[in-house]
Amino acid sequence: MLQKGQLWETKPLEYYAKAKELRAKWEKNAENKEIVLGQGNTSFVVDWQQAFPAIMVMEDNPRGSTIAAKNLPEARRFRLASESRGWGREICGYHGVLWGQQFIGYQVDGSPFPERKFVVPIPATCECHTKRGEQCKDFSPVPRWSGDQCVYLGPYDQERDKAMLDHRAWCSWKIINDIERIFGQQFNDEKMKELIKISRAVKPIREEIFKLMTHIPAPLSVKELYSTYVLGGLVKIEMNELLDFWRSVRDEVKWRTENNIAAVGTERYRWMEAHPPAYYFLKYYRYMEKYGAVCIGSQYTNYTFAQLERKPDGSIGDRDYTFVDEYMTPIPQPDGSIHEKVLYHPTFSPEMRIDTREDEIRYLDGASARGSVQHFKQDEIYRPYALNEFADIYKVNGAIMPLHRSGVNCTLTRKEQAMRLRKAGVSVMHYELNQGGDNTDLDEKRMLEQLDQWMESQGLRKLED
Amino acid sequence: MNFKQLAENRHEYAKAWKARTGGQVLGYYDPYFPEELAYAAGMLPVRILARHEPDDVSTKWIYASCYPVRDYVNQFFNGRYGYLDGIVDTGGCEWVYNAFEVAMNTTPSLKTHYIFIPRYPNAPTSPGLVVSELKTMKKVFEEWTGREITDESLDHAIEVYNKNRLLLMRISELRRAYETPLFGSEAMQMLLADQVMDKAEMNAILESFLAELQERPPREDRVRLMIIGSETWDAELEELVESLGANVVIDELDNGTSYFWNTIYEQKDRLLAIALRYLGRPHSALRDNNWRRRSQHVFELAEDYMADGVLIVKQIYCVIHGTDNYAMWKLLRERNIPYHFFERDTSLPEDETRQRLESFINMLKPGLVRLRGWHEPLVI
Amino acid sequence: MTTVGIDMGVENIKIVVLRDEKIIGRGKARSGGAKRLAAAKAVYESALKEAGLREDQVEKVFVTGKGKFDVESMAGDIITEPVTAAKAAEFLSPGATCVFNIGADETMALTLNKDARITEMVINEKCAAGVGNFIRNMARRLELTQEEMGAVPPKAKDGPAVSDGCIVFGELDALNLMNKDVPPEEIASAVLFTAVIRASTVIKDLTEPNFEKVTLLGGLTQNKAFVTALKSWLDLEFVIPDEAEYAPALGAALLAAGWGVKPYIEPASAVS
Repeated sequence: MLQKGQLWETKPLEYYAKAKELRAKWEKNAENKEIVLGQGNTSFVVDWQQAFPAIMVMEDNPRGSTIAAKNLPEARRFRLASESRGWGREICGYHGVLWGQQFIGYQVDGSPFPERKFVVPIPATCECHTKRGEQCKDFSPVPRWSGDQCVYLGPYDQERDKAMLDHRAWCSWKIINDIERIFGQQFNDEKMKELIKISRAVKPIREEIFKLMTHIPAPLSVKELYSTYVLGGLVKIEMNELLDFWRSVRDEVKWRTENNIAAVGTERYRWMEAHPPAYYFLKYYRYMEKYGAVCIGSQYTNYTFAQLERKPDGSIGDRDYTFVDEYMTPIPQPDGSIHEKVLYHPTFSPEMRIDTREDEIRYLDGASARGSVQHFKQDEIYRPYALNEFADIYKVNGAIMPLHRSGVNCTLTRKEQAMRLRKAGVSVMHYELNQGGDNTDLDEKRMLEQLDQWMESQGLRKLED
Repeated sequence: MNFKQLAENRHEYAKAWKARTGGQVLGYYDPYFPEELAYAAGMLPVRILARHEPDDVSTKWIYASCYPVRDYVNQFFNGRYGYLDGIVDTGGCEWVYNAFEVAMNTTPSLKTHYIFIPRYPNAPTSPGLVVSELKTMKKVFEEWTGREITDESLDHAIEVYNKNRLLLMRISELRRAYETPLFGSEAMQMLLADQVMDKAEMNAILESFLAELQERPPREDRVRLMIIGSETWDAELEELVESLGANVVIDELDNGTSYFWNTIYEQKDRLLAIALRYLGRPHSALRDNNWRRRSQHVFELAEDYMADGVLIVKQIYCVIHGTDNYAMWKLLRERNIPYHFFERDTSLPEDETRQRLESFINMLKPGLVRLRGWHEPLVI
Repeated sequence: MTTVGIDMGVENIKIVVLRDEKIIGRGKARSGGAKRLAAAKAVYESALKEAGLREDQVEKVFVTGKGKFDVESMAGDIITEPVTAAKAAEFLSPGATCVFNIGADETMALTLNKDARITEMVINEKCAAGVGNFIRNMARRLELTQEEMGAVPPKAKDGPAVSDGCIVFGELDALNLMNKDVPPEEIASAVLFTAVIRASTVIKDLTEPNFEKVTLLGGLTQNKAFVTALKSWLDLEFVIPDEAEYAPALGAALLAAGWGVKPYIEPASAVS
């Protein structure tokens, strides 16, 4: 039975159940009393904690967002517990929710809050990341080791880059060696080499999926992507399991693409978004489908997107990673176009030989100081036109750009991005909220009305009601 | 000395300096900017400060940032900073970065540079990294000015800046005394003026001010307050505190005492000496990572300046102080130092702020009479 | 063809009865709070009375405005506000390149192309919401009528000011001025200036504005002092049609009549 306006065949995703299972397993691990539980994140490149016999580093983003999505009253209570201890309302809601549990002493399910024994915040340009887990250490004196996400503007500079990489490598080295010393656990370098090998296998598979996402009709909508993209990134799972999982996702997506199986059967409008959505109000994705509008992702979900670029002949292909000695600021040309020399660096060296622990650490920290894997954060600084490129490659008509009152990096340069997109003919809608883990400022009714206004102003009406 | 006027006339001052010397004026946002290098290149480094002006511009460019940053963008588009030849950002915070890159992306004629100062300043690799960054910045400034930054010019800049810091420290010492002759508002205006003026000129002003201060009769003692929190751009709050019979005797603000607190110890490697000073300055909230130093510094200041209470004043949307507040509240509670927290935005709502300050100050007064039995009774 | 457009505003309900592109009846009343449906029905009856019509003589009723879902039972169709504003501008101010619609709650700026289609739309952020309500509330506080509020002189350069960053802070500042015995008219001028700045933030948010023919619509067109201050602040000339206050309702009635450029794209037909 075809629905009104249906253009494509559609079918539920099969990998979805496996994604749920893996995530549940990760959450369950935190309860294992044999494990030394830390706060933070290891690395997006290689999950180095797996080279320790019994270390688990837990990121607050997925925990905080899950609680906010599933139990708003408790999430509010946890945030209040944080705020009443001085925690600012403008801080990433994930923190407020998670650390409120620590202050109160129990988790959302009523179980005792598992004490964190150390903190390793993953460095990022985002200030909430920089200060991440600070209150965990302020609460009870546990060690905290943070590194730096080094940034500079302008052309690649070997000297600056080297000093920054040395600094980053020292910070990472310190974390691993101190954990060995303090918790008496031996870091297994051979296991680490094995992990690096698997991570090298996972990366191209994920890249292939995000390439397939450029297909019309979109084989996956972002709603499905949210259940998977954190696996291996923020949610750490056993590396071989991870490899198998991503292979299965790739195979399914490839099959869907080859057979034109759509995520949304009525796809007639493609939209992108930026940075975390309102996790407690994901129904807007389904609401947009009433207009035949499908979200194909964001720099956040498709975070390896920067691998693709538009070639001079108009085709889309893998990015040329050659270092370009040009200043990055876009310079308006007399004909109104924008001259933009893209400075880009490989996230890590695929060919790098790994012998010593220093090699392992330098592999983790990447081949260039600012070329870390967090493209979705850093692109806004290095490549002001990154979103325009994304819009072009993923063939979008519109963009929904949330404006977050909390979390800084989730809103940084957002208004400018919107202007650049509008100038490129991409219609943009903003909506306001606090943050993906904090519903304080989201007016759900107003947001849905804004979606109607936005769609109708572009000449689209609901296909169904 | 009318420091208020000096601070308020900063744009006119910079324009006049430029016309007089033919030099370049360089704006910066954050006190981690190693001004000595710019000074050695013959430039006038001026701190970009907010002010109250109607703002219908910044919303287009920036969302949910603190007021000072919104105002930087507003002033920039309204041409208030049209005289700047360049701007340097040190990654003081991301909102500031946003203001910086708006200026950079919209004004190709503006010289811009970004210097990275580690957010973990205490790593053994941090000084080496900052030296590398200073080397790059030195080259950039030489290119901008067409003037070589020699060891001699660096030595001179370090000398002028060290003298400035020493003078500010000597003036600050006078605030430690009971019956201090210096009001907090005057001290804050002095610091704001210091950050927008040629240091050599300012040093002469400070020397005469110091002499004048030493001759000033002591003022009746008052409730002694300390201010910590987000940066400020005026002394409205200090003035309000004074109107209520109290005095701000010390602060731990980025553009307050943290601006001058430590000095450069000269060594052959001048850039390393500069790097060590900036990494070793009282940590800003953003750069106070891992094992904390800021809490201890705040406590030492409160104790050394005999603060009766602490005002924690945070800008709405200041993520960094929002995060650090937990540690500050915890510290002050543990050590039984009374504090009062509030947030501010564009304006300081007078009635509402007066009411909260009055209550806090009144709460502190009875304890003071009892504690200071040996001292002249406090006039309430 | 006889059609009716209903604009369910936050502050007022406005109704237009349209026959063959002519307004033959109109009605306006306060929104009625929790009893909006009843209030809308009462205004509808009075508008029909003015037009000399019975309900069964009306062919279509389209509804717009913030409270549009409160009167779903009366609506033949529900249309969003940008579409009705653009349609009204197409009718009242042919060739309009830009439309500002400023009401009690929402400020909206639209750029139109030569076919009267919307090419860019900006709606206020929360901090700029309720400009009209702010003015109304402050008038009450200052004990001024809406007419008096609309006749205050422009804010003097060195006159008292209230926060323009946030309306709540602005209100606190205004109360502070009242406590200092500043004359109400001067405070009112400061309040209007703040309202102008908040509305202006929305207008200046347009990425590619075309100010060739700016048309001002919405309830605040009735406040002369506000309009003068806005014109002077933006340094723009406005076309303010006589029906500016009723424009969204008129736009809805025009859409019901199928007048002018088609606002919607037809969905593609289904394929297997």
